[in-house]
Amino acid sequence: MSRCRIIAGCVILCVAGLGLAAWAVVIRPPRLTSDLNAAIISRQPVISPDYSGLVIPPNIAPLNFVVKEPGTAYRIVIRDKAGPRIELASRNPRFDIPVTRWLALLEANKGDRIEIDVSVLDAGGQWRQFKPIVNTVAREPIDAYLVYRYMDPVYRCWGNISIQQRDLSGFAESCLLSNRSIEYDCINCHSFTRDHDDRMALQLRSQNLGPRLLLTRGDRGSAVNTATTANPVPSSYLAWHPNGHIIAFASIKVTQFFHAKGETRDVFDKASDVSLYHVETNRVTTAPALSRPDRLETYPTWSPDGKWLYFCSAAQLGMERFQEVKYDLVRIAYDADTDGWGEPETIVKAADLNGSVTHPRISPDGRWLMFCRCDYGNFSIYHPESDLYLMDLAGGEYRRMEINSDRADSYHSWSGNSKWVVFSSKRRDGLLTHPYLTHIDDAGQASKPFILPQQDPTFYEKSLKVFNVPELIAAPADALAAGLMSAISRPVSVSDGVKD
Amino acid sequence: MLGAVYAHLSWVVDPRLILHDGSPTFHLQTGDFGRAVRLWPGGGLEYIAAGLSQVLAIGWLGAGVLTVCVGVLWWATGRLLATRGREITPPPGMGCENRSSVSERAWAGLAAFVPALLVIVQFGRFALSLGALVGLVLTLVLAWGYARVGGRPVIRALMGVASCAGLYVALGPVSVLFAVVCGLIELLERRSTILGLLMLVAGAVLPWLIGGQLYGVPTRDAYLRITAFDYDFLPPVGAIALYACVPILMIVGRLRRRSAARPALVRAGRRQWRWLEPVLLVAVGGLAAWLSFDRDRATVLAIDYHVRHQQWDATLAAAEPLRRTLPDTRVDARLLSLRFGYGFPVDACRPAPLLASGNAAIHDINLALAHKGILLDAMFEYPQRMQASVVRLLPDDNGGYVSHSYNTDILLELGDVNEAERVACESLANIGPRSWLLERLTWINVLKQRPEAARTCLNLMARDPSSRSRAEAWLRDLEADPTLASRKDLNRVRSRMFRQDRVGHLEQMDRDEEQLRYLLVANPHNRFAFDYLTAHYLLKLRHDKVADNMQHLAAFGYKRVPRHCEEAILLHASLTGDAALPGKFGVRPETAARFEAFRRDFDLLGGTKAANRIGVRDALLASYGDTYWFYALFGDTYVAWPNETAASRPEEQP
Repeated sequence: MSRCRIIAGCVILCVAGLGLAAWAVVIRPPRLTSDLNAAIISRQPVISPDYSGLVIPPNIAPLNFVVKEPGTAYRIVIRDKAGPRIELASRNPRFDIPVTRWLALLEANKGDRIEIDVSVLDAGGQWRQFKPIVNTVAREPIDAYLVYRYMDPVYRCWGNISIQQRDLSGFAESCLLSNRSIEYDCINCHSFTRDHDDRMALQLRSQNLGPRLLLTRGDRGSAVNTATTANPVPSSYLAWHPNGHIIAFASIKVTQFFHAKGETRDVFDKASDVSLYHVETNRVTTAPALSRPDRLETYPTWSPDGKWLYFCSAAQLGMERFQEVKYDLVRIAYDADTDGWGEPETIVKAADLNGSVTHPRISPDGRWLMFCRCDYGNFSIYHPESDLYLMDLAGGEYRRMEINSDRADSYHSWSGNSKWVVFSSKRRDGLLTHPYLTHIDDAGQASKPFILPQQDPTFYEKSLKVFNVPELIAAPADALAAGLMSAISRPVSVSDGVKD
Repeated sequence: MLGAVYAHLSWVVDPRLILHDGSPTFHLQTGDFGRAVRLWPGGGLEYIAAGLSQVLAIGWLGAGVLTVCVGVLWWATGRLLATRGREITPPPGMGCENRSSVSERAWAGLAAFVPALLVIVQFGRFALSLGALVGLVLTLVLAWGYARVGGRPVIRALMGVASCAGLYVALGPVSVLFAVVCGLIELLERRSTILGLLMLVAGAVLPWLIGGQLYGVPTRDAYLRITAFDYDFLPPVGAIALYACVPILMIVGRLRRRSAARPALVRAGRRQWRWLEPVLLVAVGGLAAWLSFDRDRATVLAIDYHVRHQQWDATLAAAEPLRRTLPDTRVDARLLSLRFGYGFPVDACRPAPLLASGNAAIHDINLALAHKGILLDAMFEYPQRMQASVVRLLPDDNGGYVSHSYNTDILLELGDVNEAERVACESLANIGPRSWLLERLTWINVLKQRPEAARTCLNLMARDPSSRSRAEAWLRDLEADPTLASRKDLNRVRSRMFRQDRVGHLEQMDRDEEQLRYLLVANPHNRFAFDYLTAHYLLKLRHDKVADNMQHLAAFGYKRVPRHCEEAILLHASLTGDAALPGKFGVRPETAARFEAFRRDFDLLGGTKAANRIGVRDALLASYGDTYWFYALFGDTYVAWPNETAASRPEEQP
């Protein structure tokens, strides 16, 4: 027995010794000395994601990154004008910046710059310090949460789809609705109303219920069938009126088709009209200008005062002429009290733009209108040439934004203070859609966009998921999740307002 | 006994095919385990089992792991059946002394082996996942642990319900079995009716409460996920038997003991027959395993396995059993058609049965033949379906995933990279990031000049322990040259890609001829497209177009007319009266002689006017079953003929 104990003791000692040695050689972080006697490198280090030269919100999560420089140890020092504030060292080039200290640093440096010194220990034992990475902390915060649809890059068959909510000041993510709870139905087009954060709408394509508009107010909801005898097509592209009682939507007969070269997917709308759903009275209405038989109307969006409905409109052509379908940007006056409409007026002519206008969204302060331009059609995320344009609503001038890439830049959402925009872009790899954030200054100039930070900075390097329809919201929508689930159990038809 | 189990699993079933069929994707990443636990009841078990399943890729090691699981299951069942109130009687046949009668011991020995035998049977049917087996084993071991614990009923009640809830979170719905077994222990052995009923109620209610209400999973998943029901066929007899057998054996054991308690039934002293017990086990077990082994599915899976690994010779070797018959392995026999409204496996990180079907095997074999350059010489030596699409398995035919995954390989080789991308992405959404699929996506993204996306696919593939080295080799190549211009396989596809855009609609996507002709326009030397186009004409009975195609043979490197094309030319010449046609294309004399023999035999049997067409078909099958003439006359070749109407349809006559 005693011999066994001796052997066991020896084994434990050996394992402990080996573990200690491994820790000392491999895992132990290098010493954090302020003076590394480092050689100065005159260029900035390559880091991934590229978080250099940015304007960042004062409430954004740490911009964790990987240093893509060869070395055996790495050190970063994040400093402000007062000196070093955060120092991290590792034998791993991946840095996970502490959230609390990072947010405190940003809070203390609103309107100022922060610098990140990156040093790398090379194989010869010499530290090399790169030119600092400089970012500016904006004074204006971004909305606290981002909601997006998280899924695989699907075509016409799908698996898991979920509506996710991300706390932008950290890495916490919660699921508002997963299609695994609803027999793997398709869910899309989530929409919020800025002044009524207890409301949310979502489009559901259900095997059991058919297409439904999921509507929730607080934890109560209903699944509305917006199809009417006159327009039996399901609703898409939802937009809440600022009063929180009306939802504009497009009813689309959509067809997916495929190209043999270039981007595979494309979309053609055989027909589409814009309608309004009146939440309180459970009615669907439209106007002649919104449902012309010779035109395609889509992508409705409201002006912040609710007096104008903007939408895209194109001539209805046969599918063989799909490349000739180009959308104008049109607006029409609306009086919510009387449900009365004005006359439509074209804001941007497709012919002038030499392309098609899609996804118009107006900044909450009413100053800017951002839209996408692609060569034809309306499904800009499938168009590599899709770019973001910004219109000054005061003068009506518009221009191509400086933040575009040579790949699809598309769906966008404004923050409540009109200073931040999140948009979808395939710029990273051409295949997957990721959310990018950018700051818009008073002159409408956008800062260098940066990808939504993740706790694991290599997240995007090994994820084949796409982030669709990013929407910024100020308050968490967790409470609405229960309403979405309850909505499914309360199907409502608009034709007579009676539960079906 | 366990040696025999190992031999059966290792050499007959082949663990590699079990993995290929279920193929749970497993990617090492910090936090994945936690996410799995949070996402599903039993998510932790699912994650661990997915990791453990990777050892099945190494056949001998996988068989060892499965055998150990079977052994522990056997042992745990034996311990449970030996439970007597708070006393534990050592189980029979497990090397322990037993004071009960020989007959009792023999019965118990056989009974303890029943769940293990059912597991072997289910693996032989490719109807069980390792996750389900591990869950079952752990459940029975823990139930045995519960049986050993004494204490007051209140304590046992609290402990039992808490364990049941904890097990549900950890292992998933298999915890229902734990509740049932513990309930039976209380009812039968401890005579605690209330506690027994409480456990049974807990087993029934907790999945609804925790799974349905807390986790928010669908009711079916709350009760059946990660169990044998995930994989079983309709009707799920095997799965029901697997989970029902232990409770039934416990009840039967109790009834036997009650009757054995009568003095007359005790027959001690017949120890000379103890040797019979292991012999009986081996005989019964071996017979059951042998009879229940699904050879057809194993063949189809083996073909699929080799094609996915691009092992063309091995594919054709595995396809040997299909030279004379195609099994009727319809995918919709799986429970999956009930489970998923759209007919797709849905969760990327869980085992998703492959649904490899007979029709998929046809496409696999054709792909292997095309790679070997003998598609037009040998395709009718293997099963072919009349009028089937040569390029794609239509979703309505075999379910979305199957058609998509197989189309990816064929479409890539043809050069239709965009279409290959479409089906690969849809497969990704529906079966998850399997390594072979990620590799295909890597090809596609490199060919479409998206090296960053290719790198993402490879980074993900590198997290699969069994594919890491392969992915890292790709990554090194990609780092050196983002176009991978030195890779011959990619260059081959690159040379076949469309140069100009064309659009297609979903409704028109079964137009093989149009697609293949466009591919030949894009690259007039695309031998793959030419072979598939000619095969398309053969399957559609367009021997006139086959004959037209023959003038282009030399452009595709053919030195002679392929055999099936010769056969089509001869048939065409016979039907049109163009006697010069065979000579024009250089049809070999032996083929012409065989055709004459075929005609003679056919006429002797009554020809087209024969009353018994099925008899004619069967008489000609052995001599001419591998010819185009046979296919053209009788329809599906070597395909199982469940009903004989197929052979007598007049519209299929040439």
